[in-house]
Amino acid sequence: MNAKEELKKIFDGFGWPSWRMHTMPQKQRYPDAFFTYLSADAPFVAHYNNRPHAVVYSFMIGFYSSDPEKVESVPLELARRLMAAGWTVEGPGDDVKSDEPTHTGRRITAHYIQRI
Amino acid sequence: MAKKSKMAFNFKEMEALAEKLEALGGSLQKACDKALHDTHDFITPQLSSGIERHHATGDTEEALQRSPHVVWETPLKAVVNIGFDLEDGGWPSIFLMWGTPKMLPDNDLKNAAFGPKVRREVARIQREALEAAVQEMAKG
Repeated sequence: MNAKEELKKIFDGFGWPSWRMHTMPQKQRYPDAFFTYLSADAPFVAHYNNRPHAVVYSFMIGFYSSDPEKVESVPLELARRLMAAGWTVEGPGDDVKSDEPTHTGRRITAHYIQRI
Repeated sequence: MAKKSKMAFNFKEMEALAEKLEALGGSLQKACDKALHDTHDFITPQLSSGIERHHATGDTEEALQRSPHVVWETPLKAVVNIGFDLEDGGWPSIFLMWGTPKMLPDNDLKNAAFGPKVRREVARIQREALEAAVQEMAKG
């Protein structure tokens, strides 16, 4: 399973939809809660014997909801589940801008090391 | 504590050059300060021109940290302030650089600080600053 599939599996565990960042259709109404993700970086690492032996996939993960309580609690629970699945999470996240006045969001950054 | 964007050293030969400089009796702190000032001076004008096209109130432009300020967070870690002060009007820069669920980001603005070309150039600037310090010490 690659990093994106791992991530989708964790999102599915919450039961809310997810989109790659910026790809939500303009006419789509925001669901009550949803995730976004963006592959922000993917450097080769662990170089020896003249080749890299791993990739660090970095994802920016957004969570948006019309329920401010969820916006505070879900990213923390997401971070917990990501770490339990072997991801590194940078912190509890930052506020992010929503396209809709009804929703607020938070973004966390997480890294997944894949051996190659 | 204000939330700042920061940039630290970003090239592989850093450790070897630092050891060489210290062996020659040079000031690693002084050389690192210069390298980080140079990093700031390279990136800031690009961010400044990148944010101009988004002028509405001017608040975000004003939040650009135009003066370099190097901080040694630990005896082995130095950082310089880069980009927009998020607690002083700079928040919109985040949305511009990373977009929203529906809105595309301004990749030119994002790449002005985080793009691969900029990272390579920053690595070169930092390497050259440390190499210059080593050469100066070697001359005696």
